[in-house]
Amino acid sequence: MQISKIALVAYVVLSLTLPYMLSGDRTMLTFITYVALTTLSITTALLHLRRWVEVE
Amino acid sequence: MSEFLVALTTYLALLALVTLWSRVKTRTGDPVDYFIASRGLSGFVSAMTYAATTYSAFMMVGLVGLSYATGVGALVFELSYLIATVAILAIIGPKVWELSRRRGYVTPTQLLKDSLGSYWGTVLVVIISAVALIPYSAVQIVGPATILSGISRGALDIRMSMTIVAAVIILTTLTAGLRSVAWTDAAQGLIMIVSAITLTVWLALATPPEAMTKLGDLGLLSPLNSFWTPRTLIAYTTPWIFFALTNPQVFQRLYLPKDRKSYLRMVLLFSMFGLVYTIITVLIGLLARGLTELGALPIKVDIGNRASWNNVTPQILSHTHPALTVLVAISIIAAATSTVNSIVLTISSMVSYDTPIPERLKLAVGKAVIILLTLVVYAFALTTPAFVVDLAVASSSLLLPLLPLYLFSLYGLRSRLSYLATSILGFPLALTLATQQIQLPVPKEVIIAASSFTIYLVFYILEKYLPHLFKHSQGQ
Repeated sequence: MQISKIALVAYVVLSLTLPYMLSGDRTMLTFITYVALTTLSITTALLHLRRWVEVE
Repeated sequence: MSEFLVALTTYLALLALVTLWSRVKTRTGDPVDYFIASRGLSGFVSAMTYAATTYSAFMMVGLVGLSYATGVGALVFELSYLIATVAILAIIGPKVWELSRRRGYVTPTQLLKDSLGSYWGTVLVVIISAVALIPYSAVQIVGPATILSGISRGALDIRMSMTIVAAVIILTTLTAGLRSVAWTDAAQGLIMIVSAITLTVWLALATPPEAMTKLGDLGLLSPLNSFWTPRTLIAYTTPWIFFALTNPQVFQRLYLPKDRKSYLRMVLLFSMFGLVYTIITVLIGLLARGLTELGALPIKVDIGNRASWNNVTPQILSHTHPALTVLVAISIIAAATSTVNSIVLTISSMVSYDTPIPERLKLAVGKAVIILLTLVVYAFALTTPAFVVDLAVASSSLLLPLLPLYLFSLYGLRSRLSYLATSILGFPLALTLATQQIQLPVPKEVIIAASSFTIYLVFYILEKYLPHLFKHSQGQ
């Protein structure tokens, strides 16, 4: 549970800091990175919540 | 025009049917059923009402215009919101959901009153929420009205368009409360996603590869450019990443799923909706700009004038197939009404439950607030010339002082004095900073958030370590 929480917070921090690393004309990289980051966040959130559902 | 009127009438008839069906299911004399559907919504309906409440006319009018004018940085800005919201829904949301059931909360402010203890602090938060959400609610009337008057070529003027939207809000919200809002949100969410995908495909098929090269030459394909400086990105994203906590209309949606499985399904479906809807909305703006730069789509927007960015979507629609124009226009009305009716219903529930109103009058006052608030928003919308993204971000900035209140009410450091002090000092500070043209070394939004936390913590320390100074506040 703790690991997924840390991962989610890390994704938020990454999403806010990544633009500085991706500056320059890197459209595909920006799109792919952000879509991948969002997908990872969603997956981690769902795994985290599935454990919460299971402990009911 | 006649096709549009037929479609608009069909849409309004569909809404009326869903609303009436919801009314049959609603125990209209029961405030808990009226305001939060007795906490009994399925995962699908919870997800669609969360998505339709969150994703408003801001997306198809504001974000399309922002992407068109400023490039791919708009995707970074909006996906940062989604990532943060998903994290909040996974980490903080379950705690809120459980507390709301255990303690019987109907409104977000009941959580504050219960945890932080100040009655008048709560009344103040209700007022702050209502005032702060007026610009954002006005966006939901301005956005579709711009589209309606644009595509009807003057047959429906702005004022008439705004009147139609305001009437839809009152109809869907008043008739059957949350159940009506949630079910119409579900129907409207589907219209929003289908129409946005169709418009993206239409634009993508018309866009040659050279358009991308042109966008790259203009610096619109870089996450940071002349518009998206680090300062601008931080200013836009700071209120946005806390949207799920500070905006009461989405916070209250955490109370709705009927069980844990429904909560999980809500997060799953909302996340998928958000990801797809954000990407295609940004793509619409970028593709339209690429086509304009090649001379294939004659859009006339003054990039130097932010308020004119509202006109990108109406101009795109004036060049698409009439059926597509009608579908997208209806989807924008759907997105707008589904957001503003949720805001109005949430604020009316907060006024009913968290201000000094006798129990027997709660529902009647709540319904009166729905009409009154809609009329106030309608009046504000008539006088609002600003770019819808700026209005939306302004509302969320004004709500930032509530962030420490919600966080500390859930995770310790509870203090009645801090609650009162942050409510009294935080909002005027936010309002002053948001409305004044002051150049500061860091973005105003960061200052509002940081100063709200500082006020809360300073008064927490004072109350804890110098309690004799504040003895009089114990009786409040």
